[in-house]
Amino acid sequence: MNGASLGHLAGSRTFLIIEPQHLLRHTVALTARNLRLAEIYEAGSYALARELLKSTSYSGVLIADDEEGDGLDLADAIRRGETACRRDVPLGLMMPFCTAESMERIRELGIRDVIVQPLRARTVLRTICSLLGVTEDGSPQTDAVTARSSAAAPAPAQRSRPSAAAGD
Amino acid sequence: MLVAPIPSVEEARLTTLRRLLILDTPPEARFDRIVEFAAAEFDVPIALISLVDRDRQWFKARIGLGACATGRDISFCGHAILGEGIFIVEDALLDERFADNPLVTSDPHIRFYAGFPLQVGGHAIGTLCLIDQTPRQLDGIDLAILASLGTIVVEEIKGEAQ
Repeated sequence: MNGASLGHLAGSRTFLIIEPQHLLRHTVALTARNLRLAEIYEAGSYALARELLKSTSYSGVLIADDEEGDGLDLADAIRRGETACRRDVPLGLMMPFCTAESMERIRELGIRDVIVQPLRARTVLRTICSLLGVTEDGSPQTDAVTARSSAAAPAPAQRSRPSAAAGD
Repeated sequence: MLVAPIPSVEEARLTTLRRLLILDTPPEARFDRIVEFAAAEFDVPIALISLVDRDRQWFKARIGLGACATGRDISFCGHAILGEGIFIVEDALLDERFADNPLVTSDPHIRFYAGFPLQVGGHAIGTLCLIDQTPRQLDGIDLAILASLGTIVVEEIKGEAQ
């Protein structure tokens, strides 16, 4: 099981990602922290997630569901007020597959975003941004000595008319 | 072709690398998973965890490449370990440092390269790198994800992973 990981403070945004796949979860969490999207907490199991949810009200929660529907059960517990989160906290779900029955339950639980496996970190990050209501932002700086080998961008076109486009 | 210069701290760098007792060890699932994840994430045919030794680069984990090592003189990773940030070559054929490199002109026909230097004990021991056979660009989010995967490689090397 993984302990909660405190990330860089990003305003007052805290986010919990519940995903047993360590590599996906940790990659997403590290990237989200680096981009200062939120203070990211990680849980590799539903048991740890329930413990974290007892004490912290998160700005958003992204839950990986399993074939038994345990993720949906956890979402249900949040909606019933059995955690420290607001009942209407933005929820997202990562699923191995989608059925008509699960879609009905997803609608009933007001889950805003659903992504189906296989998952890419970028897709998960996009979902986190959507749940937090923020845009993707920030990037690591490349080193000063690294040189992009692509041809230099062409110089801006010379404008012969006085009514240049806005933003020039 | 430009051969990457040898860093001034090379002997200390090699000492750091050798002390990790990782060179020439068998493949390990925890590293294989990372290159598989990276290849899928970025949709590239080749992803490597490369360790730069005195005269060679040796691959602790690799996907999409049959060779387990190449000479250091032709390696892109030899250039990547010189800096601290991600080293990117968007189109090797347009870069005079690499245009006539045998890894470009023949198999595996590298066009795009992005290498995250693996920093251990203050030294870059190698890279986590992505290779494609067509020109590519990475945006800020891509770079952030690659950096996170590289950080995880370092965590695994240092034994910090669970």
